[in-house]
Amino acid sequence: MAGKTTKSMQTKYKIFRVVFMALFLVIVANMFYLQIIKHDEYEGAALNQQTQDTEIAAKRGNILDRSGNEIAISASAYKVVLTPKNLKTDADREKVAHFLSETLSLDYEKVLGMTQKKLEYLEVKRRIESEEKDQVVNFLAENSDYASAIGVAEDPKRYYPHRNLLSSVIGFVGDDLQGLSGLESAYDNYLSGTPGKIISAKTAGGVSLPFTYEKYIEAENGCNINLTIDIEMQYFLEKHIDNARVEHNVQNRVAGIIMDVKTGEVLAMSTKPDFDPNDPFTISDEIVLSALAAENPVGSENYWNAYNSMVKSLWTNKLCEQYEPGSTFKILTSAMALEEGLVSLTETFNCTGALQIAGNTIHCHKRDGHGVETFKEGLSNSCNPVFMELSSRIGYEKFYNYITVFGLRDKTNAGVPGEQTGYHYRLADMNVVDLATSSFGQGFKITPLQLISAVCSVANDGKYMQPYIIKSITDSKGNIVVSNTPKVIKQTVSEKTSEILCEYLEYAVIQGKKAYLEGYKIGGKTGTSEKLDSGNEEARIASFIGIAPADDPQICVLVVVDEPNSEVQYGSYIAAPLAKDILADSMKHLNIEPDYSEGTPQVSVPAVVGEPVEAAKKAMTDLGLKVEISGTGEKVTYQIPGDGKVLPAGSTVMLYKGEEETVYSTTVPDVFGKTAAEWNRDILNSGLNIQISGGNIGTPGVVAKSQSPQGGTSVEKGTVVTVTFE
Amino acid sequence: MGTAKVVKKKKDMTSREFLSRLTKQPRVDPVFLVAALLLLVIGLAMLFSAGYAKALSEEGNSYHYISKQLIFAVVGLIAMGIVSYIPFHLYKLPIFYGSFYAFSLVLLLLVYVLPSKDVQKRWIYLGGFQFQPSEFAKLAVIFALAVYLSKTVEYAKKPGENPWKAAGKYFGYGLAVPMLIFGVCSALVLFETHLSGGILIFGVGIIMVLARGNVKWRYLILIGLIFLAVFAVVAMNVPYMRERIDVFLNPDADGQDSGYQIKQSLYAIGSGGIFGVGYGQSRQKYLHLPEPQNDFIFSIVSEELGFVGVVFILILFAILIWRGISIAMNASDRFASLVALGIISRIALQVIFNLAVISKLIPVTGISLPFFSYGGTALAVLLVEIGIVLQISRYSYVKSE
Repeated sequence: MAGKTTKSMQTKYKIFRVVFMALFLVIVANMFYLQIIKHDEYEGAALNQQTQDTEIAAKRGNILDRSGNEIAISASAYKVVLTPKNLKTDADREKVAHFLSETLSLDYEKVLGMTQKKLEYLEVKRRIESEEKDQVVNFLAENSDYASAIGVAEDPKRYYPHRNLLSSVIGFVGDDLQGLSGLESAYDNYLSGTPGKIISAKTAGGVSLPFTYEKYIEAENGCNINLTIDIEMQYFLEKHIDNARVEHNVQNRVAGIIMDVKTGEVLAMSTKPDFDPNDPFTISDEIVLSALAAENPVGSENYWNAYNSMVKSLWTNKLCEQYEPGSTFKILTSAMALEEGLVSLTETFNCTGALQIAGNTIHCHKRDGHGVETFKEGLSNSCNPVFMELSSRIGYEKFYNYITVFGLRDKTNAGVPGEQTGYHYRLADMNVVDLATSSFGQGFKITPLQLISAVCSVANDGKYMQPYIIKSITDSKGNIVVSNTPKVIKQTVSEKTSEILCEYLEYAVIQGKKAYLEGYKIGGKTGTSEKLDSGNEEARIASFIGIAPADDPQICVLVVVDEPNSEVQYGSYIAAPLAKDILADSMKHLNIEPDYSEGTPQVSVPAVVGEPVEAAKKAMTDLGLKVEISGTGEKVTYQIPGDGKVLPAGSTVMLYKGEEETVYSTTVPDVFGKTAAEWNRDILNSGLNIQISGGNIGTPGVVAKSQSPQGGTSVEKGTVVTVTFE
Repeated sequence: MGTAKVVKKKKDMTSREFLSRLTKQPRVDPVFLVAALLLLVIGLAMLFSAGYAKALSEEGNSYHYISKQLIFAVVGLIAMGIVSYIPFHLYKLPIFYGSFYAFSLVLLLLVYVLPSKDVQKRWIYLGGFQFQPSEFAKLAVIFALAVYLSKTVEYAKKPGENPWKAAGKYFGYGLAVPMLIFGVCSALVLFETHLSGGILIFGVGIIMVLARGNVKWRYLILIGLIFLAVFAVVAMNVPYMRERIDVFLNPDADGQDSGYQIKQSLYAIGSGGIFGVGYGQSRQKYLHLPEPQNDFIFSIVSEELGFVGVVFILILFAILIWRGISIAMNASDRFASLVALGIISRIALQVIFNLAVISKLIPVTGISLPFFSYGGTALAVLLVEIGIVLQISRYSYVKSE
């Protein structure tokens, strides 16, 4: 038997041992490299595949009106996602495709195609309702094999419960709820919030294991935005401008804005036609559709091109875009002249129908001239020569400066998306014709938003309030992030100028009648501007800007009717009645009581018995009286009240025609102790007229003391009831 | 009477005496034993953690791997204890090493004949039980080689000897015969497409030959180069080897199989950092890393225990190997010395190969990690081997190092 190991063997053993140890050191060194030097890189790569980030969508903030009514809200919805690579057999793919196409009403072949892709993530259908979601969840409960292939995730959607309401301001969102236009886009940072995450460990099969770790990072929901908009005012504003659009067959757009004079808050603003932000790529407006169809055959390439550019143009807010303000601008020219003391209230002007300026004849809208008129009458008549004269007195430099003072160059920064700046001449470039035409609002462009803000300042004792539409922004925890309050940013004119202009504007409305609203003091100015750059000489913009009540302006309304297509395109015929309707609803909404004590023009009822019915009607309406006609026949046989009675404008005169004997009678309501608003409603509803005697009914709390005839008496319709106050 | 003579000779020793002699052997090497037991305990603990998710996913029972492995560990420990008392002289008997070697060869050949579930024919299935015959072959080769090498005395050139004859003797006895002993087994395992197993047997054989033989270094280098060249040619032409090398050079091209595996392994190791993600906290074991309970278990160990844990375990292995070679070096018997060297080399090579594979130092080859990887037979055989080394250590005077 061999002996022990030899020395040479031992040496080799030692060599092997050293070699083994050396190799161990190499391995340790490599481990050091992998575990410590490359740690971050490998850990990152590993985490990336080990964890599945399930994004928890942040709830997009709501957009609310001033009282918290929801205009844009986020609603729960779901999406179905697929991990097709976890479907192993064709039978599985077919079964899944069959189920999904059935449940989600999708094309079978399309879904089958999805299942055949070797992908980690595919969205099968987005924004499904909870019923569909439940079906998928039940399916997965029954077929747990597919749990690694089919998933359901939250996929909130944006919902605009009032559809088109305020859409050109609100805008809309895209597929991933990112704001694409309007406030949704401009305030996306606030609204979108920060999505959270569930990071859960997953196996290579993609299935979360119950015993693995999970990290939950909560989503931070978006901020809510409270607007200054009053949803009710917005509703009636939109209703009225849409009606006007249909009535006057407006080719382009009708836009309207209501602003709080005292605070600069935008109470309502709208541009029609607009769009439904729930479906912003579809045009549903009949007029627009038929206009498109008239231009190109439906379905043709040109049709769709026109359709698509129309879709985009509907998204814009007209009130932020430049236009020529026309005669509405005369308010500001007047303010400049008054403020600078360049016009005396007693001096007279003589309008001959045109003025020669540097060899150009510039006409007044009344070609035969207004004749001799005061400044007050000139404003009421909207007489261009008067204003050309004023602008020449004001001069280039001051006129130029006032454009800046009234904020007509820069954006108002009201927070309304898409705002443009104004465009006016550079001082050096302005010639005498430019100055003359500028006086009546032609030849330059401003935005309606700029105009109404400037006019509000004139109505608000000269205080230019920062206009704004964002009242506040609150984060998801209720903290106020942004809060806007009324802010005076400058004094444009003096209180005196403001007072004079308010009175003159009221006079203009009384004279113009078209915007006259019984019981209220409305001030305002019409405008009819040519669209000088439109290429269409006939194209006009009819507009009206009104303030109410004129003695203490609360609100200002501006309506802009772009290219009405009716016979008369004048602002007085188209825009003033529209503004009147809006003002009437606004007064009612703001609980501003009508005041019949003064300012209401008294009209003497003309004698029309024996006149032809049409002529009689015209005579009455010309005076601001309403008529109610009864019977058959050509001529008026009886009228009540009879001629010579003095009534407030707006009262109703009953006209009977033919041989009819029947006279409509009614019972006089008892108005004792009632306030002006109450008896006014009672008496007018009974088909009677009112004459007021004594007292100042404008004073709050004043009630009727006596009446004639007495309450309960049966009288003929149209009879004048005299109410006496304390 | 021949038998009587034998009986007479044994008469001096009753069975009681025999047993007491067996049990009164010198004590085993405590350092080696403790290192081995620590590795076993850590290995089992890590197998439980690493195999948990896969066991649940594939077998529906988180304890699937660990419970099986524990049974083998217990059986193996008992075997280890018994073997540590069996005098190593027993293994020198031709009846033992001869039949063991022959038995291993038969098993290796059986693999080719028996129906197999896998492409790689390295398993034998017996009922519900499966094992790799190469596990036995490794030990059989060690015994056979040790016997041969311990008996061959001198084959160096004697003065005045015909140089050709001397060279023939030198190569024949010194290299050809021993290489035949391990080469046959190695080749059979290689052709099972079990690359690592073949390399391991080859490596252990070479180490044993080198340790014993009086081989000149210049020949050795020459042989080494020839061997490398042949291996390279073979590797480039045998598809499964070629594939592994391609993947090693360009892991991303093969995202799903071995390239994927090594990438996942690196993610796991790298994620570990200095202190690891904590025991049981591995994320890579959740089906990202294929075979987390087997060849790639140390990737999960690295992830969970970090660099500190890796170094600790490698120190344990180093102690085991260092101490094992010391036992071999100082063994009372040349055969025993070579057996111990063979066993320790086998363990060392396997550890080094396995760690080199999982940390992408060499191409992927299926090689398990002693004490750690799942595999009952392998663990039992390993513990028996440890038992043999322990037996040898009883008669080995190890200078305190």
